[in-house]
Amino acid sequence: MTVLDHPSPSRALADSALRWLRSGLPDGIARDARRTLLNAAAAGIGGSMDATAQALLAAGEAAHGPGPSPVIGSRRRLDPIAAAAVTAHSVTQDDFDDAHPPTIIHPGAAALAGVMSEPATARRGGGAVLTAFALACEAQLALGSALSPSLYALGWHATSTCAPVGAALATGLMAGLDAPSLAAALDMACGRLVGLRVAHGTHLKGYQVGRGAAWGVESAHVAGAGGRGPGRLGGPGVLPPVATEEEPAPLRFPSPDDGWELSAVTFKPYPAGIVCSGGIEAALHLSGEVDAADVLRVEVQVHPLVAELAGDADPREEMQARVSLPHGIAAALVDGAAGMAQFSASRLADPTVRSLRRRIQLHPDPDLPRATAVVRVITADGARSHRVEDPRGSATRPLGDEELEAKVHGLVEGDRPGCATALIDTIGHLDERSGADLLAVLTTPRTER
Amino acid sequence: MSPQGSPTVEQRLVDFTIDTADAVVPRVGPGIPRPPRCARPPATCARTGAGDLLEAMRDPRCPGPCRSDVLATALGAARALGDDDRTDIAAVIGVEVAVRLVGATRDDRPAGIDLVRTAGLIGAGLAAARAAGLDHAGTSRALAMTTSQAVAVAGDVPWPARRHLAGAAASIAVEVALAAPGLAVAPTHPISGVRGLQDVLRLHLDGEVLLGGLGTDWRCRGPAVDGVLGACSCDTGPWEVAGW
Repeated sequence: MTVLDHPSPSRALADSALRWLRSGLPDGIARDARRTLLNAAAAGIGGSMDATAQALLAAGEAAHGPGPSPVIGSRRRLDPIAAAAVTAHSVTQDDFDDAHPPTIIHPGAAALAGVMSEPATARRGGGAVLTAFALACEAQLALGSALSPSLYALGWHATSTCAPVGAALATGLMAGLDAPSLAAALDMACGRLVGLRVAHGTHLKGYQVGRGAAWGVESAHVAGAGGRGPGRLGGPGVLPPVATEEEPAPLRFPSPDDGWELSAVTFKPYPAGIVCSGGIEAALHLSGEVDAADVLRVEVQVHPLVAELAGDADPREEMQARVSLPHGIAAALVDGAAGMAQFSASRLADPTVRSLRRRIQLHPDPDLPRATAVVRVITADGARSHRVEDPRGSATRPLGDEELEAKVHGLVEGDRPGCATALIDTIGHLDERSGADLLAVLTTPRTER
Repeated sequence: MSPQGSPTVEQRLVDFTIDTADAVVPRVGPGIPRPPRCARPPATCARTGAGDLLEAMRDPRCPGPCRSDVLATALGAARALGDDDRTDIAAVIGVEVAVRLVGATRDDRPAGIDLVRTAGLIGAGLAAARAAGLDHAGTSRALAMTTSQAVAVAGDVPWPARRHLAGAAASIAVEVALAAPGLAVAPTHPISGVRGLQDVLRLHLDGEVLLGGLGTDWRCRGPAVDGVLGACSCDTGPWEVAGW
């Protein structure tokens, strides 16, 4: 890791990013980047079918008219700012994207939106596109790491707040901005703080990630046209003091040898908040040992932050169900599964699931790590307990390539036969493909039945 | 409703936006230029319209954001979506909300935040929602959508950037008004709720300044506004010509 202690941290980050774009990614990081891109692409294509994503696409067309930029999961093209908003929203929509546990940032959405919305991406080589995507993730995580944990704790939705920087970098690199313009784009991207945690459990959460990406894309366009503003990224404040309670840590960016935060990015195994993974996995294990009809009550020990973020025992909307650990556990115990169907409106309203959900008690335990969950199921015959230290999809148990590809098939294949295989193949060999090849598969429309 | 059963801040602002009778709203006078009906896409229309309006209200004595920025943004957004007499009234409603939000923070303003532009986007979002004819539910969502992206960072803003920011905010407000009906679920307390704007910014909002006399007393008028919006001396242009 290199501390960006240049008099202008944004310029230092821009210089570093341009060096990486010229040199390409180290092999191990390129593999991590391909996996992150694949996961984000599949989440985005799957999320693009959601009614809110469709509504945002229609509103983007109505507001801006047609434009040059592709949108994920669609052949329609929008103005770059609107396109970025729709793509980033779609990736985040189903809560089935990626996660960087130390910062609770989901970097793939804004990075993909920034890359896709820049028309010049179609003329770039696949290797350059992958590098820009990786650097855009890294920039968000660098900023998030400098501001963590207070950024999230204060109530900012860290993914949305850091999204502008990632999207600005991705777009700027694809557009061929020089270092001064790229630095200006990064500074301008910090001119608006996007994303409040009050949005959790609603469609506003994905929307504000989209708007964060859109602001970043706009910043890159303004900087590319010669716009300049005050230096905001890095330095003593990084972001305004109000964004954090403590003095932020220095901004760091990968050195040639090591230090990529991208390597710590994980992929969600379930379409739910990442903090729910441990409890859901424990419930899935127990579902094979007990009949849900016999369950009297369920006691769950989790870290206090998990209880705070996911303690809603009475979710009324699908988006609320995705951040409700009681719902995730109840549905997993009843169905023996935790896929998209378990977070649908029908499972949310199911009397059996609803009844069990209300008999689940969360017990915050500050001694437990955030990822750990202990689920204890009590029946008339006694109790069974299962403890998950590191759930699937955590940093220590990342999804393997086969598991990730299975997730991609599950998200993409139903509405777009053949798309999953094409996506895996294109991204797996992106060095040999073009940006246009990637965009073609990312914009595969739904097959009409 | 709040736990005590009284309307929340958000409900009051949405009710004010929709229910305020046009007759009691101060009218924007002829000093504010009105371009011909715009044929461009509404977000583009709002962006350029707000910039042009700000240019028309430009005063070299004004070093930073002031009432003219807020007015230009709200007018640009509203005029992109409506073209009757009520359009400018929608903008005035948005400006009134923005002025009250800024005024309500006067005793406890967080460092590093440009509260005028922050409140300006919220006001412009409501203006656009009104101009687009959204109902209570849609306007409530629009309020949540603008609030979630409203926080602007303080800093020296040279003229071209200032013009750009006004236009960008107007464009965002238009997008919000068009997208709000399609947002299935949004928080109902984006300002006053836990992890909402007020909580995250550690803002103390003076309830009397924010809501007192809402709909009858117009705080976006008169010299007191200059103090509320940063003792800016530039509001002597067309706004004053119009009798404000």
